Amino acid sequence: MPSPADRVLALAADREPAEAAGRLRTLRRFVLAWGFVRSVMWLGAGAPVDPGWLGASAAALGAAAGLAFVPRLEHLAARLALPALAVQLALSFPVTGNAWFLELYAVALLALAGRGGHDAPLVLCGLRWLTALVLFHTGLQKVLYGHYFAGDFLAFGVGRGDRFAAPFQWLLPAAEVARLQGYQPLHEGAGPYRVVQPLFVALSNALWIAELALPFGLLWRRTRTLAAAAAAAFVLVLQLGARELGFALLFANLALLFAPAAWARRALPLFLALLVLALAATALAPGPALLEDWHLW
Amino acid sequence: MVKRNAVLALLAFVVLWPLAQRALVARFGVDPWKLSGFAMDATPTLPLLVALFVPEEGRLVLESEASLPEPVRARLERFRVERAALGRLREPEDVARALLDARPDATGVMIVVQRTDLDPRSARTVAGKEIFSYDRSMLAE
Repeated sequence: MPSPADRVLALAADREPAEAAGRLRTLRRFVLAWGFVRSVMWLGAGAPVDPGWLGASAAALGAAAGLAFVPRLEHLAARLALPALAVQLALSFPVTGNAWFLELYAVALLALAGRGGHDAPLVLCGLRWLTALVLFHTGLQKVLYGHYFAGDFLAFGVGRGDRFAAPFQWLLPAAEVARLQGYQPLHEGAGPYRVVQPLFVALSNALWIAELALPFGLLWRRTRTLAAAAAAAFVLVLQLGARELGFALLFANLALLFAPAAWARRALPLFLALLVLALAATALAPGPALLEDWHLW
Repeated sequence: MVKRNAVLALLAFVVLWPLAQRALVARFGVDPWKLSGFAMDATPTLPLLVALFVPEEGRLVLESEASLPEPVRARLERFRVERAALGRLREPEDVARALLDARPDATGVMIVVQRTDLDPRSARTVAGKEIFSYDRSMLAE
């Protein structure tokens, strides 16, 4: 008889567990390729860490990404990547970003999959729960901090010219934007960063509501495909708008674990092409600008 | 069974750790965007302001950051980054030591750290200052 923990894990399972190994293969290829590209971007931008250790970890992640494309050895790829990520954690702590931790958790789960798809259904359940939990936490944290109910976070972002808030700026009259931008946020009592435009406030609330609701849609089989499409689109639009490249690409790929397996397989070349573009941009414009523009450090 | 337990342990960590991180933010002023709490974009973050003062002729004189010797500037920059991430878990004693090493004439140093947050009730910024005072005899112990 399955334990309560097994029953909870199984909520994220597929009716056809045979597809699990293929799903993991697609995700593994993307996540490890991303880890390599991100590391090269850190190197290219002169991230403030020991370049020797960073270079060694980048090389290990490159080798791991290569292994992920060799079916006979693919089960070793994430295991090779894990020590490299441990080195990067030691190098970047305490400023390590959340997207990096998401990558670490995904790689740690992928490392548990054995040769020939052994344990793939278990690992797939783990990755799906990871996706749902992280999305839920992003919404829960917005509730706990309380800056979304009246739109304060976005209004503050508009005032500071933050990228995350830029798409929402168009919902405010020019005078309101000018008022918000006129405050000096480092001065005590600056504000109020509050607006009355109902659509702006409604969209601010829609963000955390979506982040709290979508995980349930992902886990419930009947709504899984729709929720996966919505979650991937939501994160890509929102985070690419905010230029959070790492979180957007990683999370979209994780969300696709809930969609029909062919979706992720077909999307993989597109995501890999984006990574090639990111590498080319690093080569053409080395320096911190790219890292800062895309929140990669 | 080992792998199943490993999956469950990682998921339990992902469930619980962001709540613990939220407690660290409340207790120690840790950066909400850091330490794997997944609270990015939940609250604004503003630059941390750090100022160094040295007593001279009975009054405190602000040290210009540009004129600090390189080792002190490097310590200060590192402190600023780590303090922003770790909050009150990171104190500036190493910055004080570096400054006093570079300034043998100084009897002590005062370091003022100001963190600015957005208050969710008023939607206005609130600044919290913390002052660290070190004198040479204290650091020599």
